[in-house]
Amino acid sequence: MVSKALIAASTKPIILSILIRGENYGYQIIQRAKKISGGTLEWSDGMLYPVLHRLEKDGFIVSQWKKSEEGRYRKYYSLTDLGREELEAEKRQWLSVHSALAELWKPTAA
Amino acid sequence: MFDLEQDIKKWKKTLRKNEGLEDGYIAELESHLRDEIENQMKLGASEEEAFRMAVKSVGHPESIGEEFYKTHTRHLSGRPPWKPPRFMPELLWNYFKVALRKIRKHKGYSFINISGLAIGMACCFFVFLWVQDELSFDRFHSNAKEIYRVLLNPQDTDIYHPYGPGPLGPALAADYPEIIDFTRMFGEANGPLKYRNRVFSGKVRGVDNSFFEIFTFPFVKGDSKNCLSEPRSIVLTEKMAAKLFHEEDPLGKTLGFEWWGTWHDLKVTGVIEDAPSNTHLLFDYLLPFEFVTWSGMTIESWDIGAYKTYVLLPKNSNFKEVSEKIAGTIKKHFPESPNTLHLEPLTRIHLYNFTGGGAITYVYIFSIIGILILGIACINFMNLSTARSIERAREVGMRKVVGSTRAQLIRQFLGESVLLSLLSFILALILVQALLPSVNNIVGKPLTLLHSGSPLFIFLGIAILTGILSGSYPAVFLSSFRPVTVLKGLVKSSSQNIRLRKLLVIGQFVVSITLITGTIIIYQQLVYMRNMDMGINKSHVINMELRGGLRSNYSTIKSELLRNPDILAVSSTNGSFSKVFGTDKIGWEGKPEDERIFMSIHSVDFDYQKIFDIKMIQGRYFSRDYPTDISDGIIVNETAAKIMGMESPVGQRISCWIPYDPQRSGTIIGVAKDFHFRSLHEKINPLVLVIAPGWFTDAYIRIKPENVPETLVFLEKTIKESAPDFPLEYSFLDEDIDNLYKIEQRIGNLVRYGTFLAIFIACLGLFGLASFTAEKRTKEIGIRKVLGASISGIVLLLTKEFTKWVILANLIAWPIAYYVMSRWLQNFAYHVNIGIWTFLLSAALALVTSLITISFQAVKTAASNPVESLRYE
Repeated sequence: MVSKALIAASTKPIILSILIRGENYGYQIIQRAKKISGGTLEWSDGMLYPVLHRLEKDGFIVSQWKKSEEGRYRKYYSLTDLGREELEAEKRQWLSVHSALAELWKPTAA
Repeated sequence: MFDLEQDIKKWKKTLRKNEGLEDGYIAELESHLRDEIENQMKLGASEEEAFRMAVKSVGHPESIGEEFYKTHTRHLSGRPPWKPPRFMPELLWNYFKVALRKIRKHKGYSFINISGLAIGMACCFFVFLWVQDELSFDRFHSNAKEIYRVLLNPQDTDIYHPYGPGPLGPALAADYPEIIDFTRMFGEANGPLKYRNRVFSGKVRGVDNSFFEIFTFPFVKGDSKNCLSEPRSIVLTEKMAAKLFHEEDPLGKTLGFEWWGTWHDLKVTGVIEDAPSNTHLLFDYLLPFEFVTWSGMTIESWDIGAYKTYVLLPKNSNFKEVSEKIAGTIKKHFPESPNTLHLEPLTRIHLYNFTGGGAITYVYIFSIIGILILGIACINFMNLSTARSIERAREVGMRKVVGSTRAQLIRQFLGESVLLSLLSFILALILVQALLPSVNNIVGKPLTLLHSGSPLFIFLGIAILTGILSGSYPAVFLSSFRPVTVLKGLVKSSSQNIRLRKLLVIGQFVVSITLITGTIIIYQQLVYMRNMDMGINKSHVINMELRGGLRSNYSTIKSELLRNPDILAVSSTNGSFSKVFGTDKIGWEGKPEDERIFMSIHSVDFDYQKIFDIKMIQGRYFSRDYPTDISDGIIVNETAAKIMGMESPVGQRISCWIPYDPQRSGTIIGVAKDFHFRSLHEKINPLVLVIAPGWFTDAYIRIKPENVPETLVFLEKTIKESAPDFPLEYSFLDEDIDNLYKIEQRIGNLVRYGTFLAIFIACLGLFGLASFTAEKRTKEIGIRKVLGASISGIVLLLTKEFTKWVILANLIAWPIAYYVMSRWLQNFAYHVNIGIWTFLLSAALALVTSLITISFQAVKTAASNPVESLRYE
């Protein structure tokens, strides 16, 4: 399990990272995220959508309604250039945190 | 049958209710829901199950809507408008304004409400201050919990007194390791000090030097060590030092101290801070314990009981065990003694009698009264507020219509009552501050409101709590109105409500009537004691202590005084009125063996009869014509004659113990008619009168009722000439006798004020109830008037019911008052009997006050125009 605060903080980079592999719609994004994390990331599904809207408002992603093969409408999101830059920035931040923790948790040869 | 499309529609409908979700968002969520349903069905769930699980996984529409709103709003707080605000400053200001407007609009009602609560609070605060002071007695010593007073208990009696022999303290310390330290104390006497030409009298105590180690009395000058080890040393309180030395440094100075007619030179070795008033150890200066020997008293004998002993035990020791251990100490050293010992904790001395009861009873009683009065004031506040609810009903309706929630309304009305209670609190503080001097006068304490460790914050807490408690019911009641009915003008309160009110008002009147009856009986008893024939003529008698020159030049001064025709007689005795010496060492022929009979023994002179007007029923009074009277004459009172069982006492011989003449014996020359020489709490004791020259401490002077001021001037001038060494202090006998009933007068005053308060508060309750019922019966009265009822008829109708309650309250209060007051009267050997008219008087008083209260409201209602009241709806 991952704590609430950490989930809230990581939602943005996770969504951006999923979308960098191509446009996608909400349901799929959630499924991908759950699968990758092996179920440790637990979201209330509905709460993802306000986050997507926020990212769209900030200009990191754009959305488009599309009709699927079965005739269902889905809202697809795709990354903008600004979103790519944002993802790079997020990556740097997360990696620096990661390396710092990894360095600290290295078994010491005392 | 489950229909997926139908259920999805329903689900969407619920989402639409949420203001944060717009159609586009819902479409997206629906798409998500459908994907999830498909997914679940692929995993093998039925359509219905899949729908349920999908709905669940989407989550709460409430919080999703809120998040959506936050994403899109430009508001900084991000709080959706459909959620009630946490705090709305505009509304708070509005509440405040509305509350102030209501206070201003209903000035009379607000005044009654606020002042009623203020009086209740002030009362509660007074009680609190008083109780706090009572409970703090003797606790300021840092060793307070380890200090004990030694009590003596004579065999076969339930008397416990602190007066023990001199060697007791040292013996206790030597015999028992548990006793760490001890100090003896002598004197509850007043003695004068003289420095240059300044003479001041003060309370003197003789103590061992360890006194300052056991008790905590900080030194301003000098050192607590060895300050009293020199025999001719003295320690002053700051107050006494300032009086005697003004600006001078008293340390090392020599001053004079008069003790039994002789002046002693003493060196000041220390000045201590004035002791706080909450201690049972009251003194103005301290001398070494040995000073008692200067008057010839011994401190070596085990046979004298005159000295108090205080001991210090180790921390956390079990004093009861120690007490049992030391119980036989006196008998061990002096087998003839009948006394066993007990330890009494210092902190209990003031509050508890050793055998039970004591001032603690008053602490409980007054605490209960304080809480009761505050409680009643609270209930009245509640009643008055709810009674006026119709006034506020429309406001509540309006507020609800424009979106107030119930919680907001409750907060508003609670806030309002807290505001009112804070106003009352300020008023109460002003009241307390203004009345403290007179209250202090009544209770005889220096209570202050503003001192360090003052309970102001506790009071504030009490005030806020009072506001919340008294506002809670009106708040809940008012906020429960339904806007539709209220705005139409229909408000009804349940009948259960009014029954509770009736009970409360009756309860208040029971308290008031009990107090009225109590006041009347206490007053009767005080008058009775003042006017009772004590067997002596107590008016125009002056009493003074004989000291210094007055004592040594007594006979010269006496003849000087008698030259003035306005001075009728001068007599000297041992001890003033009510302080008559007692002994059991009295013998007569045929006295039963082993019987301990206490008799009072009084040393008088030939003129004693002229002062007090004592009547003789047999024989004669002492006379200068019989010189043997001085050494052999004895007079007994009727009671003594009866106890000794003598049929013709005159001529019988008895022996009695006199301090200067232990083997004194004499012949009875007369029997005096019984007269009261102590307070009326006690029955007349057997009394023996002798003439013992040299054994006198006080003078009595009878003057003519005419020219009293001139006589007093002459008296002072004459005494000053022959005895200039000290200021003359005298008192009138009738005042002294009145002072014996100081406690009763104090209680009488307290009960009287309590009665006024209780009546006031009960009338307040009655007023609230009357206005409530009048309001409820507006329409009925309107119809009655239309049908021809007269104003007086309606006033009668309205007052009849209340009168019934007051009479009922009387019936309940009488037995209570009778029981309590007859127990109180048991304290007096001579007391009034409780008559039926006392009860009738208090009933009449209660009835009249309540009728006046009700009639205001009744007349107002009865005189109102029926058109107004019938148009009410």
